[in-house]
Order: sequence, then C-alpha cells, then structure tokens
Amino acid sequence: MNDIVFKNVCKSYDGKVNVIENLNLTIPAGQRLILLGPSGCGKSTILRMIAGLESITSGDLYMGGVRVNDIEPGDRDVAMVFQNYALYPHMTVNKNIQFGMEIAKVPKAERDKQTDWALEILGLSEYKERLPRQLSGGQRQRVALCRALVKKAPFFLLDEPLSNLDAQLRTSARAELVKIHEVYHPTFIYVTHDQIEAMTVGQNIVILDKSIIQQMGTPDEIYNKPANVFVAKFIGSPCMNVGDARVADGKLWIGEDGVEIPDDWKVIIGDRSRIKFGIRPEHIDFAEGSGDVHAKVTYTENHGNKLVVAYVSGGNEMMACLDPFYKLGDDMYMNIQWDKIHFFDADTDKNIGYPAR
Amino acid sequence: MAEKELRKQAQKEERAAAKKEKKIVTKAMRKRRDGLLFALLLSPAIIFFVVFVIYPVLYNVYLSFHEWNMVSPNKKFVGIKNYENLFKDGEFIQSVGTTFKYIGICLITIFVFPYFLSYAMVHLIDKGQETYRSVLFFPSLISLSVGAIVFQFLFRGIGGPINAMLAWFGVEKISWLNDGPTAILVIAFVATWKTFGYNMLIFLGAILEVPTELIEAAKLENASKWKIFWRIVLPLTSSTAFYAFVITFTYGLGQVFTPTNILTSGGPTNSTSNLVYTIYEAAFFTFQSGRAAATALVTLAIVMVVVVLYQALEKKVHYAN
Repeated sequence: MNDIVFKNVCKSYDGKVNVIENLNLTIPAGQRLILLGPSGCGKSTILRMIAGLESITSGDLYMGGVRVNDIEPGDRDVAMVFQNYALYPHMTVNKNIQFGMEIAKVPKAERDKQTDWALEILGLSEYKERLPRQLSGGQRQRVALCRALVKKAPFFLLDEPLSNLDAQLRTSARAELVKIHEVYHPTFIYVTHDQIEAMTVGQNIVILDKSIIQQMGTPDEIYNKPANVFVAKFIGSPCMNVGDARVADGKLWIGEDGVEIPDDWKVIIGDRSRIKFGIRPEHIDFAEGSGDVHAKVTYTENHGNKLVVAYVSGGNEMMACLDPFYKLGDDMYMNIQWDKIHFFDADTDKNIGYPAR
Repeated sequence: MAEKELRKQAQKEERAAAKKEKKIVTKAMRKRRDGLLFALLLSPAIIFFVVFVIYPVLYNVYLSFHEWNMVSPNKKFVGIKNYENLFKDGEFIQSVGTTFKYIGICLITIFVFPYFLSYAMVHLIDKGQETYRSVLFFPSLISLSVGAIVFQFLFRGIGGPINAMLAWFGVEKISWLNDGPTAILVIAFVATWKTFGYNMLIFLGAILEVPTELIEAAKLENASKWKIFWRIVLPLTSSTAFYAFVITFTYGLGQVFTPTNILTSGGPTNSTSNLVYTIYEAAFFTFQSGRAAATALVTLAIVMVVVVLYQALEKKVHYAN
C-alpha cells in the first residue's frame, strides 16, 4: 500500500542539465531500501523529491498510490532525519520531539506519552530537558530519530544520518536504525555513501552513479553478482580487482599466462576476444613456485586480522586479502577459482552472467 | 683540595642568589613598565571619554540646577526649579508624548515591517530579490538632511507634488506639515524612508543564517509559514532583532531630530517636537540652558527605565554561542 513509484522522473535545476534522468524505480511498502552512491550521484535529490523538498521537473511520483508531484511536503506524511539532524537549537529535546505533534494539534497527554515512548526506545529519557547543544553528536542523532519516530509516518526518510558520527557510534546506531524499522515497518529510504551501512541496514540496495541506477538488489546480490564494473568496484573493501584479459584458444590470457577456461564459462564468454575479469581480494588464491598467473608482489599491509597484499599480474594492479600469518615467497602465483570469478564485457563494462550451478 | 671545592660551592651559591635577586627586581620592574604601558595605551580613550562624556554629563547635572543664558558670566542657582517648571509645563509633557508616538511608529515601520519583509524575501519571494534589496537600501546612502529637504518639497501643502497627485483622485488638499498628526506621520515616514532598507538588510542577513534544513524539517511537519516564522525564525534571529529593536528605539528617541528640524521646526504649536528637539530648542533658541539640562536628564532617566526593560527582554533572546 505504502509503496513509492517513480515513473520517468527527471529533475533539472537550471532547465538545461538533468541531475536525475528518467528515473524508474519502485520501492515496495515496508522495506528498508538503501540509496547508495558516490557524492553527487543524485541520491539525496531522489530522497528530497520523495519528501517534497525538491520539485519534479517531469515524470510522476506516486506514494501509496497517490500522485504527489504537486502535494506539499507537510501533506505527504513523511518523517525525515537530516544529515546534521536539523534539531531546533532553541528548543529542549522534549520540545523538539513534540514540535510536529503540536502543529498537528495532538493533545498534550498523548504528546507526552509518545515522547516518553520514543525516548525510552532510544535510551534518552534522562536528556529530555536538555538543549541540543548540551548533547553529544550521537545523542543528537538519536533525538532526531525520536522526532521522526513519534510521527509514525508510513514513509521514513534518512539522509546520511550517521555520517557525522565516529566509527564506533556508527556500529551501534546502525542497529538502532534497524530496531526503529522493526517498531512499525514503515517504508524506509536511507541515503548513504557508506557501503557498510548499506550492506548491514538495507534489505534492498539501489546503487546510483551519475544519476543512473546501476543495480537494484539485495545486499547478497549486489555483492556476489554485481551488474557492472562500477558496482563491482564500489562494494567491498578493498574493492574488487578488475583487470583486462584476452580470450584465445580456449584459454583466458592474463598478461603472458594462459589458463584453460572451463566449458560452462566458455558458453557465457562466447566469442569475445577481450574481456574484463573480476576477483574479490578475499577470493585470491596464492601459491608459491607454480600456479595459473604470475603475481609480482609490490607491498604488503598487515591489518592485524588480515594481510593485504598489493601485486601486479599481467599488467593489472591487484590486491589480495590473506591470512595474517601467510608467508609470502619470492615467486608467487595466483590461482583462478572459477566459482569466485566475475566477467564483464570489455566495451560496456556490464556483467556477462554466470554459469548455472 | 676540599677547601677549594667548598669555596667553589660557596661562590656558586652566591651567584645563584644574586641571579635570583636580579630576577625579582626584573619582574617588579617589568610589572611597573607594563603598568605604564597600559596607562599610556589607554590614556587617549580615557581622556576622550572624560572630556567628551563624563565632564559634559556632570556639567549637565550642575547646569540643571542653575539659570544661565549661556552668555552671562554668572549662573544663578535655582535648586530644583527647572525640574518643577518642566512638569508644570504642558509643552514638555506634550513632547514626551510625541517622543513615544515616534518610537511607536518607528517600531512598527522600521522594525516590524522590515522583519516580515525580509522573511518574505527569503522564504516567499523567488524573483527579483536583488532589485528589491537595492531599491530599499538606496535611501540609506542618502543624507537624512538632503532627504528631508526633498520630502519638504514633496509634501508642500500648496503646489506639492503629492497633493497634486492626490488631486487626480479627487482628494482635497492636505496640509501635511501644518497639521500636528499628519506632520508627525510625515516625519516618521522620512525616518522610515532612511532606515527601512538598512534594518531590512540586517534582518535579511540574520534570516539567511537560519539553517535551511530547520525550515525544511518544519515544513515536513506541515507548519504554516506563520508558524515557521513565529516558532523557528523569530527565536533564532532574536539576537539580531534585539539589536535592531535597540537601534530603532534610539532612532525614534533621538534621530527624528533632523527631519523635525528641517520639516517643521517642532511646529505647528510644538506638536512635532520630541524630547531631543525640545532640548535643542531650549538651549539654542531661547538660551535656557538650565531647562535644557533638566530636560536632558529626564530624557536620560526615561532611557534608563527602558534599559532595565531591555535587560529583562534579553533573557529571552537566543544567542547561537
């Protein structure tokens, strides 16, 4: 019921260049959907169009089955958490949370009840009478969540709500966001450029680049079957190794080293002579003395829980994540694991598919 | 050998003690030198303040108990007679009333109006903002005396362009400057003309400083434009508003002197004379310096009452830091 549908939506600020080009997207009701992409990809613009804070240049936007192009933000029944929280600095936590309910003329007793309920959920009860400037960043962020929560709106929008928090707080805040969603299952649209937030909070992820949707799918699909080179490289840390290879005589040639291609992959690769291969750093299989492709190690970084190795294979700069106690030799080789490899078209960068297994 | 070492040790201690003593002397000297330097640096400001502020105020108090025509070598001590005369005198009471009328009008025209207009310019009007700002600010660049002379011409009862224009609409001739109530309005209008744009720019600056997302958050709560102004913009711009309020108050109190002097000279029958103009008139027209001094002190007392009210009001002001 409370789904959001974009139909051929375009957005232009100057009437000349479209910052959102022909967007078609359906966000199912009650889902946690993440809009993920680098800065300037248009993800915040999409969120603001849902909120009604940005006008729609052309196309249609439906929320809960109603066309909302010309409906004011206040009439769309959305709750939003802003990047820097947008707490009213002159109001106490209590007043900040109650502001919307006061406008909606909710009776005082009900307002107090709702506020106490939200503060309880986010563990802020003792800060009720404090001003925002007397709170830490994490507490402010939770007040902003409380303010959105008490509205119990069917659409819950979050614009990079964790970007101003330190790494430790982010981890706990991510869990809180999921907890809030579980309270009443609103349609949850979350904008971020942080892939870990996207993978951990999202039920579905939409990856955007240059205002175009690159892929929409579950975190598993995005990670394991990236639609193109951009998605492959955007998700994962360190990112997926993508290199150039040739196909000839039934072999995959990376530099001077040729590896026999299994039959099921031959069908997928078809008659391509040039191709891009992708292997995640954690899927690199190293061997000393002999193997599929020669690897010239350039440097190593010990991260404590893993050993990150930078190396060059067939002219491609690559990274491998190995066991921290792995002993590197002088003459290293990379073995191709055919169930962990991805192939992309050399011209279009699109994923060419996977053999049925 | 041991004796030599002992002597060496004694010498060392002596040197250390001397050094310590020297250090103490140096510190004391430095303190004195710093004190002198502070006095030297502060002296121009202190001298200026004493000569042009403290002394005139004290002399004013002294004068208020005397009768003196500013020429005679003798000043006659009259006690509180000057004050008694003031409060018996209808003209003084009238000028207090007129002063508050100016303040009241100015608070509406150069405080409330530009406040709302600048909010409208930031959040309601999309096009032509630069033009409006320039046009409204332009009078602030023109001398108030020059402006007053121009308005004197425009508001002339006979042959004035404003009356001529009103005549097209069948409005009968209005004696703008020869009728008490209209003359007060014209003087307040000239003061407004001069200050409106300046105050508007100050308000604009403050309103633009209110973070956009606060306004957006309120919009999402379905808050009306009026609610956004009253609940968000007004509290967050209250420090600027407080400043503008003080400036407007003093403007209404004192600065309408120039248009009053040029347009009406306090007339007709003293109806446009405010406190400051009354002081000027008593001192430099009728040479009653004692009366002028007493009026000035009463004015000061009124201002002091207002200052106390300001301080009470300031507790409600939101300062960002």
